[in-house]
Amino acid sequence: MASRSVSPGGALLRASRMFSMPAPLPPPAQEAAQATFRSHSDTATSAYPTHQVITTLSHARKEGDWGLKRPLPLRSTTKSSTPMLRIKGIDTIEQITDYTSGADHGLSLLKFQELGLPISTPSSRISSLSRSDSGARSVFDDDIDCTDIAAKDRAKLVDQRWRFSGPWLAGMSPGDFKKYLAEKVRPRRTAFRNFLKEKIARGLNETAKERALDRAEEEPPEVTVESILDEQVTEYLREVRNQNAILYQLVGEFLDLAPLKPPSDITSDQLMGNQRVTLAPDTRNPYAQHGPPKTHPSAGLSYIRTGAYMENHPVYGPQKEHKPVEARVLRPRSSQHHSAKLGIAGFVSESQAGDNIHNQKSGKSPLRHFDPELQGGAKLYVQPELASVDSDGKLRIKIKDSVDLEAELVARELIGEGEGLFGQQPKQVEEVSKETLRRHYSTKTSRGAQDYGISMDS
Amino acid sequence: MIIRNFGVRHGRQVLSAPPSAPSCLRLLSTQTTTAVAGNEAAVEQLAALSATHAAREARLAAKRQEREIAAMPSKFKKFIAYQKETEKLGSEIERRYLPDEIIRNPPHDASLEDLLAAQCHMGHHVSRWNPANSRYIYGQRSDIHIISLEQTAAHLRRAARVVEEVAYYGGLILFVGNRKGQMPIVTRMAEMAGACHLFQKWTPGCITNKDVLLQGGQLKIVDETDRELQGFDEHLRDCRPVTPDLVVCLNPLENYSMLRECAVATIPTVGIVDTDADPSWVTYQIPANDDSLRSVALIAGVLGRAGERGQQRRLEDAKQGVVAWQTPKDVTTFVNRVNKNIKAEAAAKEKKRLAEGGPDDNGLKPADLMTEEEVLAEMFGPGAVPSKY
Repeated sequence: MASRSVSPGGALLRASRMFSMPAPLPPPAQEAAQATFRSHSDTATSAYPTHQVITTLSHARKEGDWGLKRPLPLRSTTKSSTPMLRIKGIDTIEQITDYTSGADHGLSLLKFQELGLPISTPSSRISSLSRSDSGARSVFDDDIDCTDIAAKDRAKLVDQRWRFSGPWLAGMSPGDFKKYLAEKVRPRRTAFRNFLKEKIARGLNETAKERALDRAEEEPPEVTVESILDEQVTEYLREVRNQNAILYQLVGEFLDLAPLKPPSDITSDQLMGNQRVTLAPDTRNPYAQHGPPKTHPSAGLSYIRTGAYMENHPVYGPQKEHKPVEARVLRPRSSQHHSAKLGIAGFVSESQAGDNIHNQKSGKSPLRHFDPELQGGAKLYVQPELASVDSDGKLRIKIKDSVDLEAELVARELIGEGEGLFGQQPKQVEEVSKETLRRHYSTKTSRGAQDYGISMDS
Repeated sequence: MIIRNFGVRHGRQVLSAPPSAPSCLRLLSTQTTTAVAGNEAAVEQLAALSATHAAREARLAAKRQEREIAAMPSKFKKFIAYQKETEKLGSEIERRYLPDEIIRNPPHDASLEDLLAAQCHMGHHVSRWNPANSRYIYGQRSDIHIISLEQTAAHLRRAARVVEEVAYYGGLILFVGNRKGQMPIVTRMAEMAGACHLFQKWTPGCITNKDVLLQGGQLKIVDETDRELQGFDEHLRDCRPVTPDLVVCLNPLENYSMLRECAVATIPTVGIVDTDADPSWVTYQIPANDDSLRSVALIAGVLGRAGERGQQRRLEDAKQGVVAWQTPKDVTTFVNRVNKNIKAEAAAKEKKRLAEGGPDDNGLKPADLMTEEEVLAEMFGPGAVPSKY
């Protein structure tokens, strides 16, 4: 489709910053459900930002100029050291610009980018006990980051897509599912029958062709879609009714449903029962387990494709491990089932289960014991390993189950804590302060009482 | 003070520093006059001892100081060399954004990019629109109306032309902007265009009831090169207060009464019309955002520049003897009346003189009482008078 030609002013407007502001996202489902969102913490931010955060130059900020309809009040916009705002309305019916601070999510983004973590696809094993998680890949890998797919290839490339026009059935509530059936699915009955006719015709043609090849005969004339009778379709439906996998595949292709991961363990009911155990076909789509993401799976948090880079230290050279970061223990382990919550770069992460350094039963680990004496809570160094955005838009950071002690010492040293690790700390160059120099050179000048021969020595 | 403790108490420096006798004397005399004879020797001994010690200290200090001074030039040279080496490093910022640049040095014409950058395109919330502005509206976005930049640019050019020509024809322009923060804009544009400004509340009736409200305001009569003319006191005492010939209003919504008075007095007006304003309030509309100070500053700056151009053209033409404007009728009448009076007075005086036969006004000059020879001598000097005469 050729774009309509626009006037010069229109072209300018289309390229302007105001027009490039994205439309706000719907608020996170959990917060939207509660009329007044109350979190456990009064400083908690919503799971993901819904509005674009804007900032302005320092000179313009002093004038209140944020590039909006009117200058913003200086009292509330000039005092912050993190000038970030989210604009809820450029102009409202009350003739005011509706804005709030956007520093919470803005700083979270900056802090996350400081970690240098790539965003990977969600892990198939959520509480993985294995040390290596080979299931994670960068969300920018070419074969899984594609949205421009022709309609006929959609079913074929189902394992590589993250955007589907249909819903992810496992994430729907029963009410939503019923509504979906009534509003979206039922009106498409005839379309589905036509879709089945196509399928039947293709199947018939393929088998006929194969048979002809086997018998070295001439190819029979093709069966057209129109020649398939309604009775044939009904018969086919009866056939596949008991074959869940095939039926799901057909329905999923027709409605473009997001793929579902079949349950990993088969319940005893199914094993004991007489009926055949038929499950949805297994899929290799990384979003099948927890649902496809709402936005691009990176959520714009990080654009680096891999974490396989090496950090360099000015003195110690290239480092084997990435710099560990200090995490705050938000909640120690309460029981066997609740792992400890850690705050890393403004995001909440859970400590790894299983036998690891964060999970020692002996000793006074801050992850097991809450120390009320500690100002600001306990902190410990952790090594973030993977980050992924789940289908709710929340960022999940997975930490390694151990921290390299050497890397921790280097990290401590870089921020001025701890002793020199390998060599000696650089010598401080002794500098003569200005005050000393001034005093030194002013011995000949008048010094009040001393001019009169009165010394203060004794 | 006890004199034997003097040395201890006042330390070495007093005694070591070139022991000037007068100061010592003064010290002693101010403190005590009863020196015990036996202690004098001890004092002298102590003084000598501390003097040698202090002298050594002073020498050391002097040496240290010399060393440092000697070290300074090399350090300074190093510093200068370092500075020279590093001054080429870094980037040079040739053009930086200064918010008040648009007020101090506004452009002569606003391009579409300028208008866009100055937020001129942002109208009000769609529910606040005045349908009469639909011709200026390009569309809506983020729940506000977007004003067409082409419309703004075209209307701004037209208004600038109006301001320029009014200034060229010697008209009196009034710039009005009485929203918060518009004072520097209004004063600057009035300064450029040689016009009047108003950044406070418009007193209602200043046009329709000017004879009462503006009574006693100062007026002056100027010629074509803006020099004040004398001799019009009588006229200025009698004449009515003036009204502007063009009013430029940056916020028409708050100045309804003023614009109404202008309409009644058939004074043309130029106004920034946002999407919620009524465009029929002003004669020459400029559809633009009137809330942003940057937008207002840009539009006002272009108008101020236009006024400046008009004034310059007028003064240049006046130097060439071309005067485009006409003297107001009341002034012409006054001048004619005064001339007529003067002529009539002179005629009456002449008539009276002739009737009385008296001397004319000029009176006698010394030359009238001199002989012709004396006059010649006066004119050419005594030697210049021809002898044969």
